[in-house]
Amino acid sequence: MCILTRQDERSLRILIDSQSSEIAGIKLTGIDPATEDNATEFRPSLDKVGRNDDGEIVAPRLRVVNLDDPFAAPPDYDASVGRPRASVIVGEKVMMYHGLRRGSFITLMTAVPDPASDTGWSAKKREFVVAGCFRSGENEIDLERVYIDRGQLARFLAGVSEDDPVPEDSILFSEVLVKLRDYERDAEDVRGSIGASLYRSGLIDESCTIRTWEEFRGTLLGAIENERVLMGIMLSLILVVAGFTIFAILSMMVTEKRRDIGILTALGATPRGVLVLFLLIGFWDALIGALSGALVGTWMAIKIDPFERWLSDTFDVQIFNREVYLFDSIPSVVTPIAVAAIVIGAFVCTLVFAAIPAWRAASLDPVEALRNE
Amino acid sequence: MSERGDIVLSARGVVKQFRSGDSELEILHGIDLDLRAGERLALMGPSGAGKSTLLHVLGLLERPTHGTVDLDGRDAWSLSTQERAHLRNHHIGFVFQFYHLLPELDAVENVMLPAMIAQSRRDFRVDRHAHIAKALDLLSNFGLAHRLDHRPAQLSGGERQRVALARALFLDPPLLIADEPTGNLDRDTGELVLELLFRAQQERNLSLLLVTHDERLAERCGRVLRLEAGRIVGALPGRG
Repeated sequence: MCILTRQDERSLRILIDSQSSEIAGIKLTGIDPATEDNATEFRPSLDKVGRNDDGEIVAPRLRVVNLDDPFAAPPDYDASVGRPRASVIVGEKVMMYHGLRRGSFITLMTAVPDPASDTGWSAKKREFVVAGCFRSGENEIDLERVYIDRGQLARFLAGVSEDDPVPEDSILFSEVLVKLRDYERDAEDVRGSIGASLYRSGLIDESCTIRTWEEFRGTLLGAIENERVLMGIMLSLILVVAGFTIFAILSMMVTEKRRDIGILTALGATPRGVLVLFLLIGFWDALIGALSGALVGTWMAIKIDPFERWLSDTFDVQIFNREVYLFDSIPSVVTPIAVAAIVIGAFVCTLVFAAIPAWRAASLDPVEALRNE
Repeated sequence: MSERGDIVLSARGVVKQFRSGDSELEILHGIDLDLRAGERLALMGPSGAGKSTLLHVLGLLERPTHGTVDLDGRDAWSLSTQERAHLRNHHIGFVFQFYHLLPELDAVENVMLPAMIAQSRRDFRVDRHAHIAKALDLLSNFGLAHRLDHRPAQLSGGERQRVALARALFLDPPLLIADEPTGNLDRDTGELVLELLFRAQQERNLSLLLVTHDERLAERCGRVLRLEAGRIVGALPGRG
């Protein structure tokens, strides 16, 4: 599917010229606005358009006019003869990159199978009016998706006028989305029962598959999982380095306090007492470090976007390029179990690294330590 | 000779060897020594004679290669580490040449240190006021009433040694071990510290084991043992 931002006869030439900003490949998705919200975030994505970080609308002219009837033409639109009568909702990035606004015209081009044609395909081209844009928050979608009313898509592909009835042999559905209340619990059961009932009704054969959203977005999720694993390895290394720092600091303290340890031993302290003394220092280091790290880390994970913007603004360096990454905000989820695991891990790691100098302090020979200055 | 029951510290056949590479160096060659309750014993000898090593063995800081050290009627080196540490804490007061006070603690806290070690944190907190009163009493007796909250770095050498003496006496141990207690002080200051040391020893009927180079100081003790090349070569009665 192609999008042409100007209706003229240069279309074919532009198609060949892939560098042109006036043409781009898009994914045209036909939806039923009344039921789409049952399974997707369609309506919220219309409301997110053009909002800045404080939630203020910065470009109202990009939004659809009526959230309840998103494909309604703009209010000042003159639908006189010769004007396109069907509308589309385009991704926010599509709108920005092609300089579109509400009420702009775009031409969509596609090819449909046509047994009567020599090539087996025939091209379809139609002009549409832009009703507004949506913002999913995923760059990949905002850059290439265009929504159209399901009926208008069927008319477009069948080559009948926007006002004519939908031809009876049209394919009205190519995808059914099912949203579950408890995905984790029900995904597999529902997948099985949907597959079985569709198969029994003869709507699908054995070759058809029913995919969960995780399988659908497998590549993306795989990449994110890889990044998580790499990040985990990096953070573990940082933890080990921090543990070595604790080890170095406590070792220096043991060396520095050598004489004091000798004095304590001479006055009756047991090696176990000295061990506990230095372990307690390590314990408080670990406790204060792990708790303050958890607090600051959790706060930063929650506020990662404003923090990144502040860093970028202050140091004039773009840390998270929203044009490059898939998301328009840094994805961050704080899971209490993960936080607890990290805190306990850091705590134990610190204690282990503190135990070595503590043991060294406990096995110090008091006579050596007290030897004349 | 007094009754056996009067003996506070007793060493029998104490040998101390140090390994140096493949060879073994014997510093003490079978020392026998008894210290009675209330007795003042000076240990003299040239440098390298083994005085410090003997002091460390008798003070339960260094294990002898052979021989026994009996303190409080028990063979100290056959006890567990915990029991020996308890014995050191309750039965021996140390006074070192270089004071060995903890620099982060003030005079009162340094004096209370043996109690801090002896008690659990909770018990020490319960007895804290009694301990402070006792430390104040000791420090006042030693003329340090105006130096209570001073840290060692803010005290003179003589004052530090008086704080160290108060610390040694804090848990009322029966045995006081002093290693060159005036070795780092000028004559007058040293004399003041010695007076306090001897007075405390007499008043409390303590056994005092004093290591010194100073003949005149040794003569003020009841008995003087001369150590040479790891052997006791002579015992003289002192004037003390």
